[in-house]
Amino acid sequence: MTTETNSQDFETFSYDDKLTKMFVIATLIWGAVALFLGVWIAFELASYKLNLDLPWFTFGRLRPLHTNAAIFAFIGNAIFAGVYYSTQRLLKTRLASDLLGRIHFWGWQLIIVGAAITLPLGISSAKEYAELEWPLDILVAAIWVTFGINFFLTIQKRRERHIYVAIWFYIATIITVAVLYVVNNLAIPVSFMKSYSVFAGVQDALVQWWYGHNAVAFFLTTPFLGLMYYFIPKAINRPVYSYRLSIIHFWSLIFVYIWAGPHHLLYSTLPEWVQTLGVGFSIALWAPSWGGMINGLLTLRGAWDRVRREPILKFMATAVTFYGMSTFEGPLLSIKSVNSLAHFTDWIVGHVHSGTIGWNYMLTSGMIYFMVPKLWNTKLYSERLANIQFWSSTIGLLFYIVSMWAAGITQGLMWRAIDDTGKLVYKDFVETVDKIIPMYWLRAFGGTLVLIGFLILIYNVYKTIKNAPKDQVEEKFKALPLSAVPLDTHGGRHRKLEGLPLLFSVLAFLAILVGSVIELVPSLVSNQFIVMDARVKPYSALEVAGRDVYVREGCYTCHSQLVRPLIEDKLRYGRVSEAAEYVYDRPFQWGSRRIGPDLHRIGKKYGNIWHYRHMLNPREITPLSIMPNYPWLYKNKVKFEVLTKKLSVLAALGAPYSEEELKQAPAMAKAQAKLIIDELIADGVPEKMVNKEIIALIAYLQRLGVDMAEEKKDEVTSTK
Amino acid sequence: MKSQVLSNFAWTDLTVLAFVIFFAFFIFVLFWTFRKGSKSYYDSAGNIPFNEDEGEPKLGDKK
Ligand code: HEC
Repeated sequence: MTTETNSQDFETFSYDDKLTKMFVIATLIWGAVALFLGVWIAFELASYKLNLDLPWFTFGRLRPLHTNAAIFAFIGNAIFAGVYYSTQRLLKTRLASDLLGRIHFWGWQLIIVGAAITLPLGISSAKEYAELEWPLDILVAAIWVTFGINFFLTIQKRRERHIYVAIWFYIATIITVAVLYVVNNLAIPVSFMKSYSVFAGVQDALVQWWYGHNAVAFFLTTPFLGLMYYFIPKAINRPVYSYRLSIIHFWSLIFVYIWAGPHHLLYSTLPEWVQTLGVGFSIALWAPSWGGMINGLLTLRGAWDRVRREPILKFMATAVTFYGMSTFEGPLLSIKSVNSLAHFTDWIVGHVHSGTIGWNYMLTSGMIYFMVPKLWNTKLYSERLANIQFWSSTIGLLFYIVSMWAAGITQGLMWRAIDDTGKLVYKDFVETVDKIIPMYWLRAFGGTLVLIGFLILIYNVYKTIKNAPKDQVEEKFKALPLSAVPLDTHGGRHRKLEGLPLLFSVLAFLAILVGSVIELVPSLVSNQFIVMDARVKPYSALEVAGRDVYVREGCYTCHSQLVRPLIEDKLRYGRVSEAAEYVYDRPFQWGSRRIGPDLHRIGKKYGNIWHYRHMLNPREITPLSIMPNYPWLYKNKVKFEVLTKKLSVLAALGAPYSEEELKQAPAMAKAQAKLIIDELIADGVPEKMVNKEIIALIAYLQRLGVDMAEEKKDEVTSTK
Repeated sequence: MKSQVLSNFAWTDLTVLAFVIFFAFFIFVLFWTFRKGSKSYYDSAGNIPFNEDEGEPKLGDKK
């Protein structure tokens, strides 16, 4: 540093690496859990028997646990480990508070344990990647704020005046995730573990995918780009290829990302202009993403022999390559014509995993191989094992992606195949399922290879730590305090923006706010978007109970409720969905993947007995079905007493129930159940089933999408 | 008042507005990063990850 300063001006400090170590271990443990769950549910789709006829093991409940564990437990802990490690070093200071760091760590693990208990129990708000119920949501927000406070206090006491670009990415992450998470999870509690979203229908969908897409952006992407900008230069021991490019990358990425959410809702009842915005910005996103990828890869230029030899660099180069691949695929999938084929298919599932495994898992692995020997002051146990992990995971991932491409495109084409007479070629949905079962086996195999790779990583780290010197002492460092560093070492007004964290944070916040406000606010405040239709009535008390079963069982993980204005959707499912039909849906249940058929037009399609038999054992009705059995719905009783409370919360949110309907909710629900059971008795169903959950679920399914159909029928008859 | 303003607003205008804001913002960022005199700043900023190992004498129990 500056030579004129006296040596007594130097301050001595150390890093809180204990905390980093804790997060590294947590990453390894939860990583194994998340990957194992993924492999398990992959096998469930290949063979329905693995659902085990037990509620806690069914696909609909474990899939949310898998996604939440992968994102928040595995990748979350990896982010925290990398952020704490790099931030302290980049700012030349110890973390502001060891205590806040510990609260962050244990609070986060508590949330994960809470998720691991509640989600299999079916306690879920049924919004993808935000399934946790309100008490856990509050905890997430509180712990996130703790993390943020500690982070900003650390920036305050830094000894490095200039703030490196990695830290910017972290700041954008902290601010944006807080905003997204809080807004999307706004809900009114009914009980300790049940709530209804304050948004309904189309608005809920818009908010959810603004969140869902930006969870990918600001949880899986921006923090990892920060980590990339720190760990790749460190691992190769040379600065990033172009610092300028990294700045353009940063600003354009965070500005553009926030707009892209609606690409999850193309061909839906979302207003057209919002869809257009989503598509436009999704395609624009390709440019900053590739700017970042090129910057990362060019940092490695001329050192490819090292990349070939050293596992750390191998993982990092592969991660950046997959980042490039999935950020190319993303804009492609946002193009409307491509989207009409790919949406609701496994192509999207493959795309997501080329991001999470290819980018997040690979970079995390490289980062762990880099940090662990340094943190424990030792050498890596085995480079050979690291190489084996690399190949096992990479080959596994390729199996995954290729099988999902094949499955997605095959199924998408089968859904839309129409013969000369204008009829669907594959009328039975299950035909299109059966066709891709071999791909499900291949995918599960690929996933297993990725999991095995991760277990090798765990073993390698375990051995490394075991061989490390026992007397671990915190290394001491020296640096000048900020007050002793002359202000303008590098001159220029850049310091004004790029060295001032507060101003910078405000600007970053504004950048993400522009998109959010323009996209969300008009749709939320203007009554143009709350499309009303007098024919659409709120759900009856029994239907509300049934809908909550649907939400609890995670039926949305396999079934959509959105008939798109596409000829193949109309032929297969019926009338195109309209915004007005969803106004009482809290949460909306459009889904994102059709493993089973769309259900928005299921009401009145079959008789009650059909559903009664089908839910108990789908294969009795559809021999090739892969849907789980739901025997417990035939044992669990409907909780009639809470219906008054539930309906009054829904009424408070705007559902026009009468006084009578609220007060008499349990009685009216029982009366409706009686009507259904009277019909079922004729087919041999025992009368004692009248108070079981299956009856409520049938009531709900039979109600789906019928409100606006009925009047239409009248019109048709009257014109005849 | 607010609802009047909103209802007179054609929604396609928002789409155009959004892209205009974006391009203005993008041009500004480009202009900012390529300003005169920024090169030396960026060169040194890019080296921040290496400052920790360089220069200062380390105290400590090892080495
Ligand atoms: C593992 C994915 C999966 C889950 C979870 C799942 N289903 Fe299914 N479902 C399917 C498949 C595949 C079909 C098509 C084959 C068949 O008819 O069984 C189907 C068919 C259906 C049908 C018949 C649709 C039609 O038009 O013929 C209904 C109704 C249904 N499911 C309801 C539900 C409900 C309610 C739940 C939640 C309790 C649920 N499903 C959970 C996969 C699933």
